[in-house]
Amino acid sequence: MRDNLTNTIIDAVSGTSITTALCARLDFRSETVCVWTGAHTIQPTGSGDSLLDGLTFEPLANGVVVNIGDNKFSYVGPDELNITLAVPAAPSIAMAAAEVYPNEYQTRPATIWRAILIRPADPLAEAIWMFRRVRTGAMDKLEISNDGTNHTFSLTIESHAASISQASNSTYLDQPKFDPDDISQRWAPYIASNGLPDKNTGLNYIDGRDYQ
Amino acid sequence: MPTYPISPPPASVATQKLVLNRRQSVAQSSFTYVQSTVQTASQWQLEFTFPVMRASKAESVAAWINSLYGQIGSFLYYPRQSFTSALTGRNLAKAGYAYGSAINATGWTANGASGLRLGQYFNIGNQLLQITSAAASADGSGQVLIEFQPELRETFAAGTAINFATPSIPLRLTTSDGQGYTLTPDKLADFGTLQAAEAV
Repeated sequence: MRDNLTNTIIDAVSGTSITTALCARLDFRSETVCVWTGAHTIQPTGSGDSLLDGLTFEPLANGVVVNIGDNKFSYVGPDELNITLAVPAAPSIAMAAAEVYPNEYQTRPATIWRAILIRPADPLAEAIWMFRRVRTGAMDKLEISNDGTNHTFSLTIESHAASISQASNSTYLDQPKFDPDDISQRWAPYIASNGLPDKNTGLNYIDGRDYQ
Repeated sequence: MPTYPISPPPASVATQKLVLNRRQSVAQSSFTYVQSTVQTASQWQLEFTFPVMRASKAESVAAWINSLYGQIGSFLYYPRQSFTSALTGRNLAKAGYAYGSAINATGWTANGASGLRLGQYFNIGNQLLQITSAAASADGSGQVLIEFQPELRETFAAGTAINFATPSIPLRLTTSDGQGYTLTPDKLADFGTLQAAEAV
């Protein structure tokens, strides 16, 4: 039996009627957008997934999820996966920023979970959702489509390898893209030059500060 | 722009077809016919007509339709029923949970007749629900277990009022194409069939 494939889940997926949903956590630079395809606002707890627990997933506030593409895997790695949101009348900060700034989404992580509704035996008890990750990757391409009848915001999520492969040309020097406060990689050129002073200025300055 | 949902149509409807659509995907084995059904959501849909009316009345109905702003606005509709319940003062005894389709209601006298019938409509919040099973009489503490369709879309706390007397549903038109009336040679107006779906 696969890890985490409990009898509860097997029972749920082998029932004659299954209720499912998909949750997406999109770590934009300006904010983390949590959306899901269920009807009500949900706050998962106790799943043991640090990216999921305690977050509030909204069905509406950040745009209605209108489509999630195929989740394909093969020996050469996973294909890209699309998630499409309807642009709401008042787009969130992240949505508005992503339309203009590529660093709002490029190489930043996104995670998608499949949620399965587990119905309790007591019809009056609260139903439980169980979550399983189906994809974690880096946000890659953004398409905003407005053809007069549809206005959608479509993101492509690459495989995890995409964030370190040539597709995104990320290097260790891109560390501030993931964490703007992390200046650790600014030492890299300094170390590469054996700690010698800059030829032109004669200074050991990194980012305007003297670390000597 | 008016505040939506706006009031019901200014003319009473002539025909009503209120159905519950379900968003389901079915995967069936082509070898055994065994199928697996995935259900994600349900939505009421209404098909209705107005009676043929005088042109002066039709103008006010047409204005009401146009005030809906196509598919942007919504309106309240009170479904026609064979019998209008007079039950009031009924509440949720326990919380009604999202995706659940059963509640425990309270407010009856102990062991008293519940006065509920199959197919009866009621509201919790603004969601329209239809009874699929209800006990004929309340239990010893004045509570009745009610099963209904569709499932609740949100969680309602214990004590939330249940409206059996004036159930309504917020609807919006299913098309942004214009809806108007045909004026016959004898100056009677006919709107044809209009379609609306639950504003979720």
